[in-house]
Amino acid sequence: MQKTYIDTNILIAYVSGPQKDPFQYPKAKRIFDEIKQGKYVGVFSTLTLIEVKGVLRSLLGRERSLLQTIDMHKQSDFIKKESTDTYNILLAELLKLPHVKFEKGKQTNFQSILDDADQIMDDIKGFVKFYNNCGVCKSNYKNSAHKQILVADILHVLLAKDIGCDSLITFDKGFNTLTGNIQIGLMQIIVR
Amino acid sequence: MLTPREKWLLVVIGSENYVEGKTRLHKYGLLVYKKVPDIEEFYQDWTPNNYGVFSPSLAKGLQTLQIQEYVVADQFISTSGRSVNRYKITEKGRNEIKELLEKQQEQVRKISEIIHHYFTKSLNVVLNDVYSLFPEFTTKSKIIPDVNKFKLEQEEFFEQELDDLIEEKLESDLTNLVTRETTEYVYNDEDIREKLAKKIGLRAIPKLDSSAFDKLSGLLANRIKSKEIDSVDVVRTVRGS
Repeated sequence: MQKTYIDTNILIAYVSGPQKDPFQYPKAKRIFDEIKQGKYVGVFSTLTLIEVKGVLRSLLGRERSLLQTIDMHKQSDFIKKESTDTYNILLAELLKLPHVKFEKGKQTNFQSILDDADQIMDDIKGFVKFYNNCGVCKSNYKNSAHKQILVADILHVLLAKDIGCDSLITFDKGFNTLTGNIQIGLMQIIVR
Repeated sequence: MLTPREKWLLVVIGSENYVEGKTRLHKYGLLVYKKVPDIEEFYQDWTPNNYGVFSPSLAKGLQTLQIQEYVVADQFISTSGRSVNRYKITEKGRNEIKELLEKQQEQVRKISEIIHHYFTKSLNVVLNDVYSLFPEFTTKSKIIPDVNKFKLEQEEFFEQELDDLIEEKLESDLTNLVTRETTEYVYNDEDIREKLAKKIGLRAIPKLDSSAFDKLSGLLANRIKSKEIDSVDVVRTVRGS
């Protein structure tokens, strides 16, 4: 059976549900259905689980009205506790999923991953984007930015390759930059 | 006088009528080493080689067993047209491990399960599983393209099989149509599962349960107040874009 590395955004879309993430949830559900049916083994790395913790804290940090009701010295403790509780519930269910493998990269040579990541950064180039409006409030705001794949994305791909995954599946189009890169080898990057 | 690990090698070979070929025997050896860690003395010098994984001391042990007639080998022509040795335990070999079989029943049972599982399966299946489970031993393999090709063929066959069944309009749940069995913790990740379970306060690793897919779906929905979220955007924020 093939091993497919599941990117964090797929897991987050699935646990968010159709109301919260109406665009990506149906695609995430299809992927989890495929794992359930045993079409492939879904692989979750420790890096992914760490990101899930970060995502949960980030989501709670957006709850402005809720946070305003909490003493300012206790807000970060609240976020940490709430996100930890949620993570524990989520992980308890994740551990029950058949056709799922957890990988901590015990055999991973981190030095070689970093060398490959360094080489990828040398190989790729991004693109420049110009902005005329603020992305949040839409007011006039002229700016420009250089966009390229994130370092963490590169580490996910190299870790997936290192732990013997046949493919990595993600919603993030930024990963397309790495398709065909020599450091990735034969591992397939699937962007849905 | 055989060493303890040579006796365990006899148990591996004697678990079924025969073992077809050295490549398969070395893969069995690695599976036993990884899956039955409570054997006190077994071959540990596993190194990547042309066929995925190899233990020089197991190769030497096999030679010893043949010279001392605990094991015999007869040659046959495999389906791929190659001449392959088929290793069989002799009566002398069975007598040698009698005591071990009685004293170490649990370990012997675990070994037998592994060998019995793969006995009727092709070498490709054994390689596919070993390459998937232990990729760290495939770095020098010259047969990776063949193993990957086999994997792809398996997936295509599987998809075709599923499509055929759907076309037959069987009314049962789709998940019941899947013929593949899921052995608990078959993916050799018990240690990380155990660590994760302990970390979140569980006494043991939860049992595998298909209904967890449904429980997981939308689990966050009532814990997030924000109306909508974009999972790509949220994850990119955490990754630092």
